[in-house]
Amino acid sequence: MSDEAEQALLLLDLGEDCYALPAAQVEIVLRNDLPRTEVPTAPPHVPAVVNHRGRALPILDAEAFLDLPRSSERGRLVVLRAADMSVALPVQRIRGIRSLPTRPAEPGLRFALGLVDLEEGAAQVLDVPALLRAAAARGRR
Amino acid sequence: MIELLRFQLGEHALALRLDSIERFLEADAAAPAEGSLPESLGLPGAEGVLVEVGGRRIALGARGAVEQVADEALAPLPPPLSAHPAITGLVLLGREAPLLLVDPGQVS
Repeated sequence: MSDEAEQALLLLDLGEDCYALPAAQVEIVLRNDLPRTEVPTAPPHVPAVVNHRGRALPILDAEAFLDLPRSSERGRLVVLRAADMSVALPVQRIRGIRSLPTRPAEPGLRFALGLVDLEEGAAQVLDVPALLRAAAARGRR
Repeated sequence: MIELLRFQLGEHALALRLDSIERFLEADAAAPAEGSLPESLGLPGAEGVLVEVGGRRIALGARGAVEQVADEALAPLPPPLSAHPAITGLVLLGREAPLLLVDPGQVS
C-alpha cells in the first residue's frame, strides 16, 4: 500500500481502542443477535458459529486472539471476507466509515496495514487477510 | 433428503447421519461402550443409546429424534473454525442456531 493513499475504512471499537478495517473487506454489519452455537473443543478465538440466512459464519473473537481487554458489550457483528474465508467479528461499537490516508505502522505492531490519524489519536488499520490466516493456523488441529 | 438423528448433550444440539451408523444398541453391562461422544467433546451425557460404527460401540449420551433434512442443509465447518474430528460439519435449518453434525466413527 502506498503511504498517504486514502482508502475507505470502517472504524470500530475493539477492546479499549479504535481500529480500522478496509471497507472493501467488510461484507455487512449485523446486530449481534443471530442464532449462535458454541462449538465444543473449538479454539477460544473461534468459539462459535452463527446462522446468517442459511450460511454458517464462524465467530472470530479478535479480543481473545489479540489479547485485548474484553469489551463489556459487543452489540455488532462485522462480517469480513478475505483469504477465502468469511468470519463474523463481534465489536463493541461501529463509529462509521471514512476515507482516510494511511501512514506506515511502527515495526512490531501485529496485523497492521498501517495507521490512520483520528481526532482522538491514531488507530491501527488491521490486515484482515493476515489476521484470518493466522486465526486459521492457530486453530488447526 | 437426508435422515438425521437429532439429539441434545447439555445445551448443545447435535445431529448425526443415520447412514453413518450400522445399528443402534441398548446399553449392556456385558458389552460396554468402546468410546463416548460426550466424553470426547467434553459435554455432559446421560446413559443413552449406543451406536455401532465400524464394529465399535460408541455411546451417544442421549436419545434423539429422527428428522429429514434437505441435502443443502449440511455444511462443512467453515474455516478458521476447527474442532474435534468427531464434529464433521453443521446443519443449518431455517433461522435456528446451527446444529453440530457429528460422526461417531471419529470418536476415539
